[in-house]
Order: sequence, then C-alpha cells, then structure tokens
Amino acid sequence: MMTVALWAAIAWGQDTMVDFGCTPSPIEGTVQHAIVQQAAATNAQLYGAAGFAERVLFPRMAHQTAHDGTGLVWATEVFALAGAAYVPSIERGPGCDQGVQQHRVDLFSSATGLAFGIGKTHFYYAGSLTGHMYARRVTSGFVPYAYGLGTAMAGPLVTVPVTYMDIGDPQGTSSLAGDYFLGLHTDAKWLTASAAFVGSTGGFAHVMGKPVRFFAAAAVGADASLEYARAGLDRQPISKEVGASSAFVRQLDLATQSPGGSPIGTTFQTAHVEQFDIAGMLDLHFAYSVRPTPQVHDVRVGLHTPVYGVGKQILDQGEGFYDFEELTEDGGLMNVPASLTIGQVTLPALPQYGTPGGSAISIQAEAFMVFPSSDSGGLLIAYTFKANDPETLAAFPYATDALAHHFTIQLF
Amino acid sequence: MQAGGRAVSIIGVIATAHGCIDQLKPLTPDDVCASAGYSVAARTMECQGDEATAVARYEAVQALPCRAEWPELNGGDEHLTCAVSLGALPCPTVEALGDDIEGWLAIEPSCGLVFGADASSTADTGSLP
Repeated sequence: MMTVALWAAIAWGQDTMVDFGCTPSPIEGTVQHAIVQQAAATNAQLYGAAGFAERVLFPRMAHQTAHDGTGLVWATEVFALAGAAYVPSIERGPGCDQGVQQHRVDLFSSATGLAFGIGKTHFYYAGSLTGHMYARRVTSGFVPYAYGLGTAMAGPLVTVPVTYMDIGDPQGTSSLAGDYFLGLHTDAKWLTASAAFVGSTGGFAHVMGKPVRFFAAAAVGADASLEYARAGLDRQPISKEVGASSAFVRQLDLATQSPGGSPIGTTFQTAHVEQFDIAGMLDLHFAYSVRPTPQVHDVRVGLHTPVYGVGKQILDQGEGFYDFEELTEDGGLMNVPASLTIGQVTLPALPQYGTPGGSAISIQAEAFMVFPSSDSGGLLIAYTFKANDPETLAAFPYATDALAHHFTIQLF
Repeated sequence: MQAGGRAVSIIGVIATAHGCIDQLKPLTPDDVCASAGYSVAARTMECQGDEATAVARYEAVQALPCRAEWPELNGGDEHLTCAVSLGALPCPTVEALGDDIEGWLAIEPSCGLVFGADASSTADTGSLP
C-alpha cells in the first residue's frame, strides 16, 4: 500500500520534481535566498527544544504533579514544512538539463524531551535537531523522520554537540542545528513556573496562573532582546455548552536578513480570541493584527467529533481518561478523535520577506489516539496536517501554500 | 510488532505526502519583476529602517509594466541580475535615490531587461508622491 502511494506520488509529480543528477545552485543575492538563511534560525527558535518544551512537556508535567507528583514523561515529535520557500536556482549536474527554476525549500524539526518529577518539581531536558533542505527527489519527506529517530534514540548525545557545530553545505542548500533545554519546573499553589537554560539563546521563563489559566511567556535572546512574548488566558473552561475560552495578545519579532546579509526585522503584534468545544463539536478562532498592518488576520471555524474534545481535555488539563476510554470503545467514525478546521488567513504585504501579502484559505486536519494506562497517564499518538495555518504563517510569512506535517508520540 | 509495522506505514505515507508538492516551479517573468521589487523593499528596510516606505517602494515597482521575457523554457537567470544588483546598492545611493523608483531602475542597466529600457520615461507610477 505504502509502495503504491509512493510511486503514485512520484508519477504525479514527474514534471515538477528534481531530476536525478541535478543539484541546486541557488542564485545568491535575491531576497528569496536571504530569507531561507533566516528561516532555518526561526524554525529552530519556534519548533526547536524551547517551543517543544513549552507546548508538550509543560502541560504533561503539570498534569503529573496534579495527580501523584512523581513519574516520567517522554515525548518526541517531528515537524516538517514542505515548500516553506521557493528560491531561484540553477540546476546543475552531469546530464541535468533543468536549467533555471524556483527550487522548493523545506524546513524540519525533530525534538525529544524527558521529564522526571519528584513532588511538585520536575527536572527536564528537551533536545532538538532543526534545519532546512532544498528538496531532493524522493528522499525529502523522510529526512525529518530520520533526524527524529536520532533525537529519540540518542537524546543529548546528539543534540548538545550539534548545538555548537556549524553543519551545512557551503552553498546554503542544507543546514542542521542542534539545541537543548535544561530546566526546572515547579508547581506552586497559585501558579506553575519554569526556568531553563537554552543552549542556543540563553534564558527562558514561563509562568501560568491557577486555577484561572492566565499565562505569560517570553523568550529572551542572548543580547537581552525580546524575541517573542505572549500573555492572556489559555483555554479557560466556561461550561459544558459553551466550552473553553482563550484570549491572548502576542508579539513576535519576525527576523530576517537582507540580500546583503544584514539583519532586518518586523514586529508582528496580534490579538486573539478563541472559543473551543462549543456544544462539544465547534471551535471558533479570530485574530486581529495590530502591527505592521491593522487588519483581520485570522477567521476560522473548526468542527470535531465529540470525543476529540474529551481527548483535548486530557491533553490540556490531564483529566477525562475514563470518559475518553468509554467513548472510543464503541468504534465508528464519530468515536475517532478528529477535527477539521477551515477559514481564511490574511497577511500584510512584507516584500522584504519575499511575499506580497494577501489572503489564503487555511486548512487544518488533526487526528489522534490516547491509550490510557492509568487514570492520569497513557500513550498519545497524534498527526496534524496544515496548509496556511496562521501560526505557521506568522513565523514564516512567505510560506503560503506550504504543507505542514506534525507527528508526535508521547508517553506520560 | 504489528503496531510497529503500522506506525512505519503511517510515517511512510506522511513522508510521501510531504514530497507531493512541486519540487521545482518554472521561473516566470512575473517572478523576476517581483524579485526586483522585493530587493528594493529589503534594501530600503536595511538602509532606512522604515517599513511603510519599503512597502510603498515595492508597490511602486509592481505598478510598472513587467517586460521581462525569454524565448526558451528555463531561462531568465540574467534577468535576475536586476534584483541581485538592486539588493546590493550601497546605503548612500539608496538614501540619495529615495522614492525615485525610475532612478533605482536606471542606475542598474540589467533592469532594462526586466522593465524595458524606457521604464523610467513611460511609468507614471514609478515615482512615489
């Protein structure tokens, strides 16, 4: 089955694939070439160890503390953004006659983390390998998973040394960066707090209030610059009928570089309101961008199976294992935790990032399964597919119509 | 073992799907003209740090008629010299040219291939108000 899909894909894309024997030689000095160099760094910042720890490890640690306070959390994930940019390039090589083309560039990230809790405190490690790659025939899609296996199996033995190495080819058609995160997470009466050393940038701090889920998060660079900041309310449960609400503001420093190699940046400020799980099936997302251009940024509607909402409750609050097990037991399509979100995302003109801006249709499909092993732990396997996802485009505004894949396995 | 095999199959299908979008796209005349505009915007941001001006200059370049053309498939690399050269203009030149888009294009001869040799004399929109 897999082989049939593979060959069908190859046949389908025959005219638009890199011929065997062709090697990209990107034309230096264009904006598209310059942004790819910075894209790899942004990818490392957002989808590397720090982002992974915040997104995945922190909630799992909090849930573990809430139940018995001791135990182990292990999680791994692979993120790939196929078609993050297209760069003018001359295809060279013996027998290669593809000439000048726009060559697809992919970003990838593979991260693995481990946390060990004693009482209300967890010690944790997260490590990542991130990078970019000019698309290669057939193999491109498998590279992120190969690195994912590396971070999962070898952990810090791979990620720590790679953090201090400069890996990539001289023409800039591929890169590999490592990062790691060593931290302490504590759960006090009114808040959870986390502080860590990040191998690539320096410090990191995160605080979230309880029981009202106010949060504030910031990443500070080695030069004391504020790389991003978010603050607000995160999925505060309201009622069974209305679901849960999020409202937050975010500032993101969109860094890039000019064709000459100098850093240039734009501040992207947005305000978000989200309502999840209305009547157990409906999600609404709205965001307005304040800077650089005031405009509606994100309007999306999501529909999901009722059991998806219960599964999210497990992942967000660490509760609902028994309900979930009961709901998924019967089988049938409506008992698969799955969601589909569709809407429109609008970006400002950012020509210095090689994008004219405008609106695009956003699609996100997600499916996952939790295999409970106790009333507070289990195994999670999840897959998410996104195209023109607002979060992804906020970080990579030139990545219109790129396909994002996210695959995670978590043991908690 | 069966679950492991299934997981490998799922990853295989996902990885294949990952490869299903175009690895190469032809370079079109419009791409070359847009690249020139991107370079003007990036250079403006770098030298003058003003985002609104950068966007306005990009839009002024985009308002010009795009006259790039090449007879065969897979051509156009020499046309990109315009974008590359504009992206490398020294900051004093960028500041001196300011909003004079015709001036930007006239200072770099390769831009004649992209916007036509007479771009500066025919484009009413080539200069910001």
